[in-house]
Amino acid sequence: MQSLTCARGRRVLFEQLDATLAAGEAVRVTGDNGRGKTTLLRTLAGLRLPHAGRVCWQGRDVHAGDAFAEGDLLYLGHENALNPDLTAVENLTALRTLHGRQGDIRAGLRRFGVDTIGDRPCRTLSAGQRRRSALARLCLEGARLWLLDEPAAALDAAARQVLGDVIGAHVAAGGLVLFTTHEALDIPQTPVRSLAL
Amino acid sequence: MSGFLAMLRRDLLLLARQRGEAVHHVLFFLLLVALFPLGTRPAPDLLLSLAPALMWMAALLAALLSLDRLFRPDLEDGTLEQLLLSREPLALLVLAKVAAYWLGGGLIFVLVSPLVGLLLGVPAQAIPVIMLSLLLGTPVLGLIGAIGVALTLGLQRAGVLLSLLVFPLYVPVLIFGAGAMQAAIEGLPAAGPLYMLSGLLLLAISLAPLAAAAALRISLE
Repeated sequence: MQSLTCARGRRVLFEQLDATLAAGEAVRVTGDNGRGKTTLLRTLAGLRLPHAGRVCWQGRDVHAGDAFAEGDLLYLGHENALNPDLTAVENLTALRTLHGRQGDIRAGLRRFGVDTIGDRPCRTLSAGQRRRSALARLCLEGARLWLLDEPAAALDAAARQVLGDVIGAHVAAGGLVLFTTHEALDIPQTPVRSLAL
Repeated sequence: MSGFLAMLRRDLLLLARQRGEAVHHVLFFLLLVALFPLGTRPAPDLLLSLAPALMWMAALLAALLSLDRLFRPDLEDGTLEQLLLSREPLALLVLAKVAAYWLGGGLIFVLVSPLVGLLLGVPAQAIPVIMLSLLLGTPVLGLIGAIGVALTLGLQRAGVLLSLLVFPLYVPVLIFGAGAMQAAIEGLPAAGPLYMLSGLLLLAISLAPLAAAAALRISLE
């Protein structure tokens, strides 16, 4: 990202943010509530236009259109992208095709310990179970850049541990992860770079 | 194409889970038509002359009441963001969503229309044209409506604004749809308005998903 400035309405959230991130890095975006962490992640994903500046992925401008055409991006927002009337497996199957991913959904659910409830409508699950189900997307192959907005929200200690392991494995395999979190998230054997807003 | 099918499959599955909505559609249509004569003189000739307008107004109102269902649930649970980030062309996904929406709404209208026609005293030979005009016209309502919903998605209470945006665009469908029905009821050839409806449908299928996709990207900024 080059001299990135983001604003909501007339309020400038952050100005002239410069950073170059490389493969094999884990980056934690820090900042108090309302400082623009979510806005930054959405801007990096190409969902929002920046007020000024540029975001490039491998030399291609994210906001010009086809930077993520190979399916490099996995974005996990505040919401879980799980329809309450469908089961986790049904939700994730549709998303897998739409994002052109490979891999076994049930294995991902098992990793996060929610495979036994993968066939129940999501409205019957607790907030933590829904978050775990959404995180199962991390176990599908294909994305190199992960943008995770509060991935540990509503998770218990055991699930946070799994999440840390999964992020660590992705970084070790040459992936790039940007995440925000207010909970403690321990990523084993991985130096976490901090990006303060 | 795999994205189109995946989207269609997901939304049809959702439709099957929410079967009650289809029943509501049928009841809405029947109730509206059953209540209408109570407000006028109960004369068969009057009802017959009003039948085309009545059926199309019912279709328009039902579309308006249900349009929000197209994108708002997906906006609220975060699925819409994921659709925007999909590798598939967004317009194609929009088309799949509208197709599923029509199968759960407009198509039911088409299937119930013979019954409603007979309630209003429409002659039996006019029924095929009535069904055909609804078959061609109701998808256009969904396609145009998708643009309106996509544009107003950023607003909390978009109901009235949505109708202000969408109703003027429904005018050609109303004119040709009701025109075809009127002609059929009077025993005249209805091919002209039906061709116009087909043209509108083709135009809407090719352009509306593109417009709705662009509107979605703006609304989610």
